Amino acid sequence: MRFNYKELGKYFVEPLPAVDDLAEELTAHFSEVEEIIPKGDNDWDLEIKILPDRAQDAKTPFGLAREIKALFPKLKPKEIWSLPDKKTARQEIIFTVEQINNLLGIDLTKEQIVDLLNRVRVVVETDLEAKPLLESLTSKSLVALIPVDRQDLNIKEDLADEVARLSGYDQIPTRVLTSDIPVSHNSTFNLANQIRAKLAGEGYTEIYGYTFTNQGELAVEKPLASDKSYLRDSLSTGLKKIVEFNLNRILFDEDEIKLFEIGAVFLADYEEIRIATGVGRKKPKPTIEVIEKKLTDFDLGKASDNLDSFINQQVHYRPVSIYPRIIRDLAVWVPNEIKAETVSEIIKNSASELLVESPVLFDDFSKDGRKSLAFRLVFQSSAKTLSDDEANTQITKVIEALEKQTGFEVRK
Amino acid sequence: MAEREKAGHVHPLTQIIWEASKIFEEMGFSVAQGPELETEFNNFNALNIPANHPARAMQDTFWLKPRDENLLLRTHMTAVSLRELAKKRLPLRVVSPGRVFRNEATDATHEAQFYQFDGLAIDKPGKITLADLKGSLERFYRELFGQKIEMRLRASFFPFVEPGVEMDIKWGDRWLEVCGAGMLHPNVFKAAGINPNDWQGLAFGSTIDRLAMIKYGIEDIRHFYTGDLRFLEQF
Repeated sequence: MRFNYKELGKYFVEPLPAVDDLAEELTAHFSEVEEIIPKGDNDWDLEIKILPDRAQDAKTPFGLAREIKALFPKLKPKEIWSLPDKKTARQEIIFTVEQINNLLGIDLTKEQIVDLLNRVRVVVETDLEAKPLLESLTSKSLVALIPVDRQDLNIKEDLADEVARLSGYDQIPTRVLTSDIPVSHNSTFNLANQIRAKLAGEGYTEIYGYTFTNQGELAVEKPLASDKSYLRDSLSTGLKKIVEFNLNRILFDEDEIKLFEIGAVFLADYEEIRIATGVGRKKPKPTIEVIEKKLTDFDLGKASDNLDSFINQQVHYRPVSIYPRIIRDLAVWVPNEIKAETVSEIIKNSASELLVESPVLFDDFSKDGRKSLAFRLVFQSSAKTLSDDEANTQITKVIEALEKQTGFEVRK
Repeated sequence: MAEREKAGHVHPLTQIIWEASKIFEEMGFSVAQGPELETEFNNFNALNIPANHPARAMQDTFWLKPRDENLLLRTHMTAVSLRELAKKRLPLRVVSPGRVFRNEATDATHEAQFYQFDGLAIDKPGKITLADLKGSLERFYRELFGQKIEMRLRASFFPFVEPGVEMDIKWGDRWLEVCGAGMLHPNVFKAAGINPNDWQGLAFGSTIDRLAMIKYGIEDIRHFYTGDLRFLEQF
């Protein structure tokens, strides 16, 4: 909803608070101001995402002006806005101070609560026919009279919401739940983590596939695309395609692709959690082997369900480029005592960010007191297709850096 | 040719779920799971979401064929929270991580499938309050993103809580919505067959995909589901 700052100002005797202050208070206590649009001449439009429960009363400039008055109590409106009494109230809500404090974890007095509710034109009376609401409650019951325009205020929890938002969430104390109940995780969760730890330890990488597919036993109404109208009835079909996808991008023909997925599949009258593993090779001949089982049928042996050693705390994320890569091999003679990692570092530091995968060592042997190390280098741009010349420039820089080192000789 | 053993990796979303579960375990929460295929009752009616609520519109929910069976793919993990509540083993503290579905066009920040992490803590009136919600969520995001992270609660509305709030975290100079939360609505207790005068508690639902995107700087949500090793091996 879009509101105009000057138009809102017409409801008040004094000028409104500065637009940024107004927007900040509205976002914190009422509904998010998504945009402030300058109109020139000290005027602005405010784009406000009115919360669904306030759609009835706050979607007009007058309704929003009433809300602004609640957030800035000192602002004087031009007209007196009527308050509900027993006759005109839309609704009466019986509540106690203790109930409000119990919900919010706060310790407000009756006067503070009444004052906050008055700001949204809720009148509070002491219940003259006070019957104890609940034996456990010690404070006297009160009656909140709700103005006719506030259709959203119906139960004591609604009043607690008004108290919390008007006093400000920064006024709510901070308490952390402590553990006094022994935890007991769902067995599927534990089993899935055991299988993850075991497979990742064996060099398998976990994938998350898509639930929607082009065949299955259950279909959805209004699918996003015609090839996504069914729920998968197996993990294998999707997993096999992903193994194939990755196999087409391996750096060495001898490399293996090892993947797994744990997920739900859908059959005519039940849903089941499965585990599928997929292994793909190009050599000696192209094969993809996929095995799929019920999660509970997986042969686990002894396995920990602790994933701590697979949590990477040192992620330096780089988006995968959509442009083609250029692969170059480089072999260098180094003194026997030089470590491969040292050489790898020199290569990384001398190339630009076009070197996208760390140099991969694929061959090393010693001869005549020297060591030969062979690396595969991958160059790729995130912005365009690289030319051979651009890759050559990178290689030249790497060779120069390597040959500056004593005893290094790039093999040509 | 030297033998090159490649290390295996667990999915970045698994990593976030694992970390989140550990943080909540320290606060006494057990992990719950439930089916992705849900009833209209568990996903909507029991959560105080009447038939005319915007979230019920056809474009948001994947209904199964035939439509008159009223089966759907869960749209939030709160459906699992409800299942746990309905077991009536109180007091209760559970977190439910899992896959949810929304029928909306996909782009770099929207997927038809994504992950959520829902929480529910129920105890006697006055025991688990909005103050506990605030403190526990703050602790969670601090442990995940670092102690210096700035957070704020602001007014919000979800049919299954009252009061309802939204938590934002400050990332760079922007506030990002990460969690909808509040005190469980009395109508939800009633739907689960529990007297709301006897019990009270907090509920929250946090995005997982977006947390991972924020934490690692991932620019496109779809990367999580393509299975590209060049992406997965970075984690």
